[in-house]
Amino acid sequence: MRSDVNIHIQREKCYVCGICIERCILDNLRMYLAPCRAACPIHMNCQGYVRLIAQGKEEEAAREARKDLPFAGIIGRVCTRPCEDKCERKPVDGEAVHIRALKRYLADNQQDLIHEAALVPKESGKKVAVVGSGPAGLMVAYELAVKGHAVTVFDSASEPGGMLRWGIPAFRLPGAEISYAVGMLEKMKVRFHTGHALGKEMETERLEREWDALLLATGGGSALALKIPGEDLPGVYQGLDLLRQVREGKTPPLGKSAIVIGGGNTAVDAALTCRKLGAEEVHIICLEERSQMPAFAAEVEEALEEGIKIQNGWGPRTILPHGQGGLRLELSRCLSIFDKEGRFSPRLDNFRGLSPSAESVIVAIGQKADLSGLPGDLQGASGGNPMADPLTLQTSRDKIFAAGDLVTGPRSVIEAMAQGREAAISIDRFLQGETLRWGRAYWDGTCITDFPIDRSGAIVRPRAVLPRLPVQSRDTHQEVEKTLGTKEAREEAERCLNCGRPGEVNRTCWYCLPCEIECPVDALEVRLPYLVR
Amino acid sequence: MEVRELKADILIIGGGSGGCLAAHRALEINPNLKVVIFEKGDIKYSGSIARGMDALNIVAIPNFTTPELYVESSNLQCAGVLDAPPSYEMARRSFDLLKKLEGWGVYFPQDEKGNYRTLQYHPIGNFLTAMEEPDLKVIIARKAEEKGSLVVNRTMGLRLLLDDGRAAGAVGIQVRTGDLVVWPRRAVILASGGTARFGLPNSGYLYGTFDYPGNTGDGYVMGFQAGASLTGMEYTRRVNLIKDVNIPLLAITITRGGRMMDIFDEVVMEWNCHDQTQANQAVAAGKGPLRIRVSHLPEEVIREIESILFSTERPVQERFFKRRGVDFRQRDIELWPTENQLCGGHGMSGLVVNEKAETAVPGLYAAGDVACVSKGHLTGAFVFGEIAAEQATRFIAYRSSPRIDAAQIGSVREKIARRGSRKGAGVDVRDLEFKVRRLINDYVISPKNAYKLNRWLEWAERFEREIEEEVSVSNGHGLSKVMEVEHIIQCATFSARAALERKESRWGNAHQRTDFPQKDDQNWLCHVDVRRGKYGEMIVSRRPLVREIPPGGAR
Repeated sequence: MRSDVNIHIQREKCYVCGICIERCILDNLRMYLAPCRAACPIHMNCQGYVRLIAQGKEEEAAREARKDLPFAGIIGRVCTRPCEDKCERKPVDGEAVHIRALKRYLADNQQDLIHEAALVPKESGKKVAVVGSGPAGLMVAYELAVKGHAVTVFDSASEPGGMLRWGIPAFRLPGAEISYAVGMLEKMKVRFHTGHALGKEMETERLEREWDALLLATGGGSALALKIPGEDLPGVYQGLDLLRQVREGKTPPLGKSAIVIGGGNTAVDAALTCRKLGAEEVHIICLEERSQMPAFAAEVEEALEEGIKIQNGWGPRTILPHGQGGLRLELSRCLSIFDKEGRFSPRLDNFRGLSPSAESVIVAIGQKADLSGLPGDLQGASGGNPMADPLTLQTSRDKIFAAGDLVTGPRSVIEAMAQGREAAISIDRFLQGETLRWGRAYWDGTCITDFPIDRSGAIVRPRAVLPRLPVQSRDTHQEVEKTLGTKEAREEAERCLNCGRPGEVNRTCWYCLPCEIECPVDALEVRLPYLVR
Repeated sequence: MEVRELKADILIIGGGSGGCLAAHRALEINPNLKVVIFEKGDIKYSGSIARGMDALNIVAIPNFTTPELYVESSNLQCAGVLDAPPSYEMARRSFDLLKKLEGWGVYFPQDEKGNYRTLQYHPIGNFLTAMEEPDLKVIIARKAEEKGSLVVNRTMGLRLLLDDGRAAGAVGIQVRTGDLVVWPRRAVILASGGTARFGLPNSGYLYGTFDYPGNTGDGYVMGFQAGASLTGMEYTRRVNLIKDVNIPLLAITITRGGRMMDIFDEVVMEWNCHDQTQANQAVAAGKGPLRIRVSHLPEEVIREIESILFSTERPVQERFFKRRGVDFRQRDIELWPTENQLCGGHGMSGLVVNEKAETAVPGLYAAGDVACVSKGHLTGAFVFGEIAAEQATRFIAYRSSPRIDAAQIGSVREKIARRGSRKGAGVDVRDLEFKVRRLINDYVISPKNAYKLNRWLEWAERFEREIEEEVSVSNGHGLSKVMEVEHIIQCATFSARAALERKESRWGNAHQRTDFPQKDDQNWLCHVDVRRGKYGEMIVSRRPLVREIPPGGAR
């Protein structure tokens, strides 16, 4: 039960940095964790930096964001936003605070602070090989470099970034943002070796021998094939291949019309890419109904906005040649997608229809784990994802850890980064001969997450809308969404209800005052416990 | 329950004054050592000197005072019950300690001739040396960490591990989560303070003690269980301090001309504050509450008093007085007896140590309030922290790593699992603590007699049963609190048993027996020790005093 009689917090000033809780010598204070922060896989203090923006303290906001995340420019553009899903603003006016946009606002306007290379302490003398430079690998590299370990990141592709570069189009995440991240890490003495693939240029066994620890973060694998007749006809491409070629500066000859098979984000991104490359007719054909599509709703809207047509509830049977260099799909209606056990097992009916013809067909139906470079004992059951302990991310070999899509299957960027952070904690402990399993819960597991939220002071105000390029100006390389202006950012930040706070829970206060002294904004006052004052 | 294990060379239990100086000193001697500090709170401010101290109570300044004079003075303070060598060694090193702290940025005011400002706090000799440093703890904690010690915060010591009777590390508990930590070590320094949460304060607020409430006698219990001896546990100390809030002020006010008066305005203390006898007698005779008056002092002296009291050690008193409408220029400061505590630094209770900080257990050292270097205060903690480190580093140089007995760890695990197993609607831990400490007030403190002390022993057994059978714990925090209360109960039993043994009265209200009201030097000019017998029973015995200072000091 929280008491405010003794410890008084000025809520307008407090940005929940948590220092008072950490410094209290009698463990009197606890964190009432804002729902957004609780939902975030890395538990960013989103409430904190949003509130600081609302107060006009943008440098402090950038510093606070940077405490938890060295990649705000990336996450501020592509995060799946579990925080916003839980935002308590929604019951007020139906829309969450635009937390992601505010993070991006800081990254774009406080670049020096957001991209600043962290100080690297004395070298530990240990060296770690990270295989894969996607979000998980980049996070591991950062967290280990910050502890003084020598990190080298290997990647099979020609440039670092993993799915950030090859799976997300530049019109969502500019290459520059990935370069900032890599540049920051290089300043922290992280080394990058591209063009090194596991199983080709290097072997797991050798890495295990020559390095003090090894982190595998090679991603969700290769694109799934449809396995239908006609898939090998000219003009049929894999969605991920298309995206990669565009990033490499090539333009595959897609023609004036394209059909994209698949209902997820890659399918939508591939369709948008086709449009931006000049295709006039672009169709997305997928098994799912509109509301079931795995792609983000906002991105589906974007596709529709750019004139892409979506045919829901169809499954392809065959790809057929049609006319001069054209293609057509033979389709059946999709009756169901998942079986009784929830496994992906689509059932199609017997009706066979034909799609419009198109000059290219893009397949974007998902990824399967690519474990070709891994020794058998690291691979999961029946060749599935590698087994890594869910708590420590250590594999069956002590020195080898795994993180990201390689372990979980395709998930979000932020989840991959969260895995990267956990793997880095494990690796650092491993290198020091420490116990891996102890004390892994966030903040000793002593945050309070179930408490009433006061919405009484909230004024209804619509959520800010990010300015976007007009449709006709859009191409494959310019960011479609622009960042918020200063006034809009501040007004959006003011929508935050400031849900979380520290509070006196244990009634062990000795009124010694370090909590007060340590508060960076003088928001906390010790009034003395009622029984003694 | 996850268990964390980490090997290292020296484990220091307690990151306060003694612990921080010990850590720094050990790494000063050998930078390659792995030194780990268990700290129950957060080391930056934890312990008794969260906001510093306004003086170093004992400094033998060359050409001014001597360690010999200090031992003589201390003998008077302790009514003769004092071992000379540890006190001598502490005083001998006290000036070097001051210089070391000064080198770290700690401020000791000096006059225009470069003399440190001293005041008389002892029966003879001006040893108390003014120090104005609210950030004292911050400075020494930083020094300990920068030198390379690994600090494990939120960790409370529960039991020492032994290898063939030798200290081999400890098992601790994370106070937020209840997870266990095991630290095999080649030497252990106990610096975990006294029992500050002992008697119940008059406010009824469990944490309203005069000394750092995190000190619950953990080190006394751990040392006892490992085979070390405790002494002076019958010395249950209380003083007259600011009523309700239990904050000290005597040294600052009395030494500057403030007067302590009873309700008839009779002065019971003036200029010297080492002897509380008159004050305690006035209270016992019903002539309290006592008050401190400073309104008669010149304005600049009042300002000086305020500036020290409101900035250093317990600066919260400024807002306390403001809320109560007490301006020193118009109103007196009301005093009341504090709760009782067991403490080696303020009192005489603690693990028996020689001048090398050694306990009876090889590889186990003690420094600060957990050790008995009678009334050694902060100087004792700092100096013995360093001595313990010096001896510990020597000890481990010739010893191999200890073997860890999984059964010892297992028994702690099992006990913790039992304590944490009853959730739901049992007795609340705070209520348990309140009752334990209220009954300590009823039975263990002066005025004492055999009837009361024996009643405590019955209650202690009852409380132990209730903890096993009725107390429920809902989270890690509650679990660590139960362990603290267990330690408090154990300490009260040490105290009651020692008090039963010492059949006399001595040291004013620290040990006053109605059934033996006179001081009896013939029989009781000695120590009363408590130690663990072969079957875990408590053995209480007398130990002769060591009165001689070794020639040429102790080395």
